[in-house]
Amino acid sequence: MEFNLPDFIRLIIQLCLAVAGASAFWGFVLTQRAKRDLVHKNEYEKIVEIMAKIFAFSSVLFLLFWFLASNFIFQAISFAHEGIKIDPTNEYIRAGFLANAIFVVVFSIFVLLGIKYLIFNKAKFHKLASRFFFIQFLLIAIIISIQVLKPSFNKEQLFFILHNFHSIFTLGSVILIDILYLSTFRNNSLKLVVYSFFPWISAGIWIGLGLDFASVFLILPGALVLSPQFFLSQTVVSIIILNGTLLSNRVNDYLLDSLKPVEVRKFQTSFKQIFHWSGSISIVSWLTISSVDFFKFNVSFLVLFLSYITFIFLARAVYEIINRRMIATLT
Amino acid sequence: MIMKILGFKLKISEVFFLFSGIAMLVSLPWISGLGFNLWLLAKVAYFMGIIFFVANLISKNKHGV
Repeated sequence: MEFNLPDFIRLIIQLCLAVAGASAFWGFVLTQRAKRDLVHKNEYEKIVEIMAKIFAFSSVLFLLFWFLASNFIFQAISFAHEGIKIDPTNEYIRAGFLANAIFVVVFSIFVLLGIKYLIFNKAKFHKLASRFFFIQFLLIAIIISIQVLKPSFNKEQLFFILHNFHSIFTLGSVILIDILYLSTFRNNSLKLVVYSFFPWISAGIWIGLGLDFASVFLILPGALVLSPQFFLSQTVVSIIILNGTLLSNRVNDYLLDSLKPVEVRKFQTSFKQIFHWSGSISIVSWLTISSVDFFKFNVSFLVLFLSYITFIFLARAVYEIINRRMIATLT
Repeated sequence: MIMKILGFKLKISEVFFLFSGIAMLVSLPWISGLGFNLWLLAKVAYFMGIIFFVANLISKNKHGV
């Protein structure tokens, strides 16, 4: 594997922006929903606060790494998610950082204001939350889309925009679901609101992957390189689709079912195992295709695939440890 | 709309997604030849899956998000 610092930092920037963008977008949607569901007003406010904390954490991390990258290092190569190669020159990456500077400054001011209200004036934060999330989502959408900027707008530029933007709805939303699940584990009234919202986030993830597919059509067939990375990405994308179809959709039903009294539940407790496997496959798969985007691996497909499987087992073990600890704190 | 395939009850969006995922995997060994067309077809099926998935979600929640 050819590891270098600029690639790693750009991966972290993409990851932080994706999570911040997802929390801003879904935070905005939740605040809109809260306006129509006054019965669960308190629950919505608590979930919005959780979203705001996730947003604040990922935004601050992004700002740190963006400052580091824009001032000291930003020479890197980029690959499409599906292993279809297209190399932006360093000049385009540099142009992206330059164009982004003004948006990052505005974004950072809003982040500071948001954190201030979240800590010192929660009532005002909730009053402004909807507008705050909406503006921040727009800013992140711009920043993440023009990370690579060509001198003229063409199909390749549109590819870069869609290819970067979709991470908000895919990688960011997948991570957000996991954090929301863990943060609301102890509170049934929060679970009721959050779990009923998961099918909408799932729709966002499906659409996000669709955007990536659409972006690939813009650079075919010239950019198709049949490397082990291409085959790994394609296999992982297929697994994401099959996992999403066969497991994730049922997981949403299972989660809502788990809130009902034991005697009327449709799903057996053993389904929880499937739920944890599905979650592990999902998170590792998205992290894998995002990493493949930024790094170059000089190994065979078999080695790459076995590493991917190993990480799924590792993630499953981590889920199990977290789950046992959370259950232990409840009893 | 629910379809029964090999004893499994599947929504129409799930049928498209399943086809898409399997076709993408199957097309890989032949991607440089005929498999490429199957690969493209898998992508089209995926978009059909999204349309039905979102339509189903909206019809279940007529009041919107």
